[in-house]
Amino acid sequence: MNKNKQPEPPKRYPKGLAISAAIIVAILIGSTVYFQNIKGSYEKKIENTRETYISLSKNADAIEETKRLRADFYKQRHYLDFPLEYSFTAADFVRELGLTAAAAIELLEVDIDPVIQGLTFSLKGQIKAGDNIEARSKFREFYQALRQFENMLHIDSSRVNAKPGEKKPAPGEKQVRLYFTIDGELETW
Amino acid sequence: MIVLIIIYILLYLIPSLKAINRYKRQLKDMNLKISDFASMESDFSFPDERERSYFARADRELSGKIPGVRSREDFIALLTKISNDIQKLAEKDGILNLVMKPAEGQKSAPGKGFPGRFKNVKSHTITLSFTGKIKNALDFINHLPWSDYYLSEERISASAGDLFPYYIVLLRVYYIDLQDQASGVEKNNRENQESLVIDYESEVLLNRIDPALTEPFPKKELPPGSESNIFARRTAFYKNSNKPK
Repeated sequence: MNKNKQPEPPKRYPKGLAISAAIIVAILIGSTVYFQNIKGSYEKKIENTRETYISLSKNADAIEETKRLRADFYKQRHYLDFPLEYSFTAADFVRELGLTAAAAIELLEVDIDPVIQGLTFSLKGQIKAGDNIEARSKFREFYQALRQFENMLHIDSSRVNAKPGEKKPAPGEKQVRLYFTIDGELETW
Repeated sequence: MIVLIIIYILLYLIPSLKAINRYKRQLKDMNLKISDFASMESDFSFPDERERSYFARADRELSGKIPGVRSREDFIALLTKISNDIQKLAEKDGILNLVMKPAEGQKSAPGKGFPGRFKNVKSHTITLSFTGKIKNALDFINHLPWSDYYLSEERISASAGDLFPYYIVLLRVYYIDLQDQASGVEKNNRENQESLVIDYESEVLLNRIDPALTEPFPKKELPPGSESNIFARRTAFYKNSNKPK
């Protein structure tokens, strides 16, 4: 008999592992319950909010329809009135130009185009004067007068070009011609 | 165990977190909508009988002005009527050398911006060129759209002329193409919706229409102006070598 034979060590069940596994499973179950609770509470909140939303939105269709009718009304009034407003404002603008322009100012071309609730204009003209300073001073006076128009939204004169006459002027004839272009926008009356 | 944890994370934890985020967003959106609705409803005035009559009147006025055109003959008849009316108006206002013709290269185009109910609105541009004293010409321009049909002026040009200034007015004639309407062609409708922008969130649309805004633009005559010709004489202008560029 082999007395030296040592008894087999007891099988080492991973006790620690089992405990860890149990803890992990418990954590997983706990987190599952926790997340389910959160999801459930959100679902409940969404359900309650949806009920409120549905009760409030009962009038939404009627409100949207009324807004559409009002928008259509404003469009229709715009289409009915704008041609009259535009033609009156355009004609009145040219009339006022006549009242504003001094004797030395001659218009060469006026272009007027409609824009929503207004019009844009481009004005080309010339000023005959004895010298450059006189011409520019007359132009400035005319430009400032245009700026004072009640319905003027903006005005700009990017091109002002004074040129001396090429021929020797006849006695009494002005020596300088100043060509100008004025662009701007007016509100309709 | 690790496999179990991974499976748990993949199959439960991640989808749960995604779902919670989705719920949060959904709830936030609904609460925002509710607060919008609540504030809009508190500010909103539902239409009364008077406002409904404004809607009906504007609709009637505009539809009464845009004639329906079923055929080419109808279209020619419409243009002839407009042309005769303009001729009479020109004579009355002392206009000289009136010439009317279709604008160059112009075909009937969709009439943009009309409310959705006005389907297949089209327009045709004609050019009026004329001369005359400034006062007469301006009165004529002012009188042009005062008619039973729907006209709108586009570009108005006045330039130096021989004796009087020379005027060009582009006039747009609107009509409803009944042929297209019958065949269900509504290709211009999208353009109709896009051209005149309306802000449907505007507070103006929450309130009843102000009665003052329902009044049509009054027909106004021009006040007296300067009788002097502010336009250069064309002869002088063209003889001048320093023409503006």
